[in-house]
Amino acid sequence: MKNFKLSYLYVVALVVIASACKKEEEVPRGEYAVGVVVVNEGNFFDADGTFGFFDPPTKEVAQDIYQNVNNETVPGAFQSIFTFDGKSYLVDQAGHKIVVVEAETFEYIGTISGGLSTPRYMTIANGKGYVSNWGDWVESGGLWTLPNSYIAVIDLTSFTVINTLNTSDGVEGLTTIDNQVYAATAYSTKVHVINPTNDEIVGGYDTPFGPSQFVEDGNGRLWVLCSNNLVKIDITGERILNTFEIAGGARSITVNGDGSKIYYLSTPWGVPAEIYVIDNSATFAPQEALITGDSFYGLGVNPDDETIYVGISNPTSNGTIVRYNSDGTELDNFASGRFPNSFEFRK
Amino acid sequence: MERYIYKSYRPLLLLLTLVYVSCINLCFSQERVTELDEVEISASAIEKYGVGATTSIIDSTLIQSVSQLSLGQLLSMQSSVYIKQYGVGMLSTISFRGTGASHTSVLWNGMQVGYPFLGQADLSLVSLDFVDEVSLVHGSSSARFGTGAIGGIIDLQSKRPANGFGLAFNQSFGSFGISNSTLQLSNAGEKGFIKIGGYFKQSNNNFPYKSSSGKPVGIQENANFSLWGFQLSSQYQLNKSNRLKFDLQATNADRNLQPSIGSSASNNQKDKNLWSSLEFKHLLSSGSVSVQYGFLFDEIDYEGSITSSYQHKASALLEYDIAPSVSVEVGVNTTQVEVKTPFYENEVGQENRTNLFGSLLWLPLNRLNVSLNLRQAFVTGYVIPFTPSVGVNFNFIRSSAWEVDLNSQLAKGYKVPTLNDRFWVPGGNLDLFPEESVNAEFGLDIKNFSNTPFWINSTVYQLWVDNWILWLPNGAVWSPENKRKVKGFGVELETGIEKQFEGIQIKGWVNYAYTKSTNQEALDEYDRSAGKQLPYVPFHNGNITGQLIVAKWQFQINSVVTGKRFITTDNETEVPGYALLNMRVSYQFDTKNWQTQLYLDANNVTNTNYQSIINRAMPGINFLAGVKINFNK
Repeated sequence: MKNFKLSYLYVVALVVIASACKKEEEVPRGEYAVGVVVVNEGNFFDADGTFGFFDPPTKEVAQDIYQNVNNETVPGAFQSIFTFDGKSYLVDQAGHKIVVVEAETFEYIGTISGGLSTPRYMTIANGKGYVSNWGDWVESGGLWTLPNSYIAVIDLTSFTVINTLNTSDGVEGLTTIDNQVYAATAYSTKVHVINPTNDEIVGGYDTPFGPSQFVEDGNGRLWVLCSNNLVKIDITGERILNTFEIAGGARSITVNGDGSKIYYLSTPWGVPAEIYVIDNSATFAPQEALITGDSFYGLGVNPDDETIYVGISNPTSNGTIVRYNSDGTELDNFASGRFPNSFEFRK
Repeated sequence: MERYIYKSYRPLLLLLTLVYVSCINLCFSQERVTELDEVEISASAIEKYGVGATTSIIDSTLIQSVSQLSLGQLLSMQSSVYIKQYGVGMLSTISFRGTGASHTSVLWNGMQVGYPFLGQADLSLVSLDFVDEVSLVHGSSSARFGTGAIGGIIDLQSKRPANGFGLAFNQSFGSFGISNSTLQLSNAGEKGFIKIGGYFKQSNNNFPYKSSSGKPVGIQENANFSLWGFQLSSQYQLNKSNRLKFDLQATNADRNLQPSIGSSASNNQKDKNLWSSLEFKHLLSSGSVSVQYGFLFDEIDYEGSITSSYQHKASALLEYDIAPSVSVEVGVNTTQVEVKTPFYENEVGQENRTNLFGSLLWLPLNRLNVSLNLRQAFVTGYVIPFTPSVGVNFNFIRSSAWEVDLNSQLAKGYKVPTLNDRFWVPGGNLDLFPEESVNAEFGLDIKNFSNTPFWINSTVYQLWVDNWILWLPNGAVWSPENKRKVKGFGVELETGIEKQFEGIQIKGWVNYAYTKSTNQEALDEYDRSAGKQLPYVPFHNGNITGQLIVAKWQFQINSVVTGKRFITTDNETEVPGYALLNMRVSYQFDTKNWQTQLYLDANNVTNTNYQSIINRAMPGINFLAGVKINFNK
C-alpha cells in the first residue's frame, strides 16, 4: 500500500515535470523516425535487398540503414515493410522470414521464421500479425497456379506462426479496417474478409481478376487494385460501388494525405509504365496518365506535401528514385538500391 | 555498330601491322624449315591453326593432384580466368577476358558441349576424373570454334592410356560428408585402346557459415549433392591408315541448390548429360580426312519441371599439307538442336546450325608462322556475320638458353542467341541478332632452358563486344534484347619455374589477369553504368602454386587471390575480394607395377570468411584424405 502510494506520487511528479518542460524532456527519437524509408527489394537470387532512407529537407540518402546500425547486412528479397507500435517488420520473400527491428532506429530485435513459405505482405489485427504467403507454384497442363496460398497468423511476442488460413490463389495485399482483415488474392478474383478473433474467413467480395493491393480513402471506402481494374467498395454496406477499367499490369496503389486522391501505377506489356490519379468521388477512370516512363517499379506519395516518389528499377544495377510534384512535373532524383518497390513515409 | 568496332580497333590494328612489318624485316630469310610434320593432330590441334592466339595448357600433374575437383575449381586454382561459384558443387560459370558466362565455349572431342537452351555449361558438373588435359584458348576465336567463342574456349582432352592393362582407383573422404570414389580400367596396345571408368561423389555440404560481419550464423542447409559418371573411351586402328574412335560420357547430378544466406529454401535440380562421339580418320600421304558424328543429350530437371535438349552433330574435315610450308584444313559441320520444355510454345524449340570453315597455316619465313581462319555459319532464322581471324607468331630468339616468341592475333567472335532467348514464353525474342566481338592481342612468350628453367607468357589484349544480349523488363514481362556494348582491356601473365637439386624438385606456377571490362552505354537516363566495370569481373585475379617433391613426399601449396567484384553495373555495391590458401601433402610408394599414393588436403587453411557470389556462403577450413592406387602391366 505504501509502495503504491509512493509510486503514485512519483508518477504524478513525473507528469508534472514532463509537462513543465515539455520541449526539452521529450524522449529522443531514432535517426530514422522522420523521413522516407525506401524498400529496395533486391534481386531474388542475390538476396541483396536493402532499406534506404531519404531525408526530404536535406535530401540526404542512406543506402543501407540496417547495415549502418547493426554493422552487418541482412540478406533478403524484401517484398514489403510493415510498421506498427514502434516495430518494423521487414518481409523477406527469399529468406522465408520476417526480420523485426526497432522502427525508429532499425536496431535488430528478432526474426520470425518457420511456417512462412513466401511471405509478401503483413498487417496486424487483434494483437496478432497476418502475413500473406503464395506457397509453391504448381504447373498443370502448361498453366502455373498457386493453390497453396495461405495467411500465416503470428504471435507478436514469441515471433512464431500460431495459425494458418488457406486462401484463394496468390494472396497478396492485406489491410486492417475496423478490426477486420482484408486479403486480396492476386491469382484469383477474391477479396477475403477475415475475423481476427477466430481467424476465419467470414466473407468477401468478387472482383475482376487479380486483386492485389488496397487503400482506404478519406471517406472510408476501400479501393482494390486488380490486374486491369480498380474497384471501389463500401465496406459498411458490403457492396461494390464502382469497377473502373484501367491500363493493365497494375502494380501499386496509394493515397494522398487526406485520402481525396488515389494514385496507381500500371505497367502494361510493351509500353511505358503509367501513373494515374483518380479523385475519390470519380465515376470515370482517368484517360490520361499523370506520369509515364520506363522501368517504374514502386510508387509512393508523401502525405504531407503530395510529392510523388517513383522507384525506377534497373535489371542489372541499383535503382533510382525520381520525385515529382503532384502535378506530374519532375523535381529531382536520387540513387536507391536494387528494385525499389515501395516507400514508407514517417513523421 | 560496325563503324563503332572499326573505329575503335583501328589504332591497335595499325600498331600490330607495324609490329608485323618490323618482325618480318628483322628476320631476313634463312632456310625454310618444315616443322609441320611434327605437329600431331591431338592435344596440339587447337594450337596449330591458332598461331598468335594465347593458349594455356594446364599441367597434367596439377590436374592429377586435384582430380576429385570439378573443372570450375581447377580453373580457379590453376588459370587466370575468373570462376563464379554459387557454392561448392553448385553452378559455376566462367568470365573469360571480362565477358559473360555464355561467352566461353566448352569443347569435348572437338564438339561444343553445355546446355544449348542456356548457351553455357555448368563447370561444376564437368568432373576431372575423365579429363587428362585442359587447354584454354584466350579471346575471341569463332573462326576456329564457332558460336560462343567470344571470351575464349576450354578444350577437354582425354589421352591414350599407357600400353598394357591399367587400373586406377581413387577414394577420398572429407569434411561435411564428402566422399569421392573413382575407378578406371584400361587396356592399350598396337591395335588401339579402351578405357572405361566411373565415379561417384557426394557431399552433405553442411558447413558452418558466418554473416558478413563474421558472426557465426548456423549450418548451411539444403546444399547437399551427389554426382555419378561413366566414361568409355576407345580407339581402334583398322589398318595403317584408318582408325576409329568412340567416346561416351554419361554424368548425372542430383543437387539441392544452396539457398542464399539466411534462407532455408530447398530447391532440387537434377542434371543429366550424355555425350557421345564416333570418329573415323583416314591418313593421307600428307594429310588426313576425318568424319565425326556426335549425339548429345542434356537435361535439367528443376523441381520437376524438365527441360531436355537433343543434339545431333556431324562433321567432315580435310587436312592437307599443300607444300612444306603451307598446310590447310577445310571442313563442314552441322548441328541439329531440339529442346523440349514446358516453357516454349508447343513445348518444343528447334534450330539447325551449319558451318563452313577453312584454316591456313603458312611459314613464309623461317621462324615466322602465319595463320588465317575463316568461317561462315548458317543458323535457322539468322544471318551470321562472316568470321575471320589472322594470327602471327615470330620466333624472335632461339638459342640453347632462350626462346622468345612474339605473338599477335586479330579475331572475331560471335554467339548465336540461345534457344531460351528465342523461344521462351513469355518474352522470347525471335528478332535478336548474334552477339559479336572483335579481339586484338599481342603476346610475348619467354622460355629459359638453364638448370633453373622457367617460362613467362604475357599478353595484352583489347576486346570489343557488341549486341550483348540482356533480359530486360518490358512492362511486367522480361524479354531479351541486343543491348550491351562492352570494351575490354586486359593483361594476362602465366609463369612457371622448376629447380632440381640433390633429389629435391621444386616447381612453381603463377597465373594473373588484370581485366578492365566496361559497359559503353547506359540503358536509360537513370542508368549509372556507362564507363563502369561489368558486374562479377574482378580487376585482379590470380593464383600461385608451389610444389616440393622430396623422395616419396610431395608438398603443394596453392593460393587463389580474387579482387573485389561489383554486384551491380553502377559499381555502387560490391563483394569483397579474398585470398584463399590450400595445402596438400602426399606420400607415394611404388612396388613393381603398383603405385600407391596417400594424400591429405587442407583447403581454406586460414578459415577465411568469403563469398564468390553475394550472399552465398562458402566453407571455412576443410579437409580431405584419400588414397590413389595405379596399376599398370
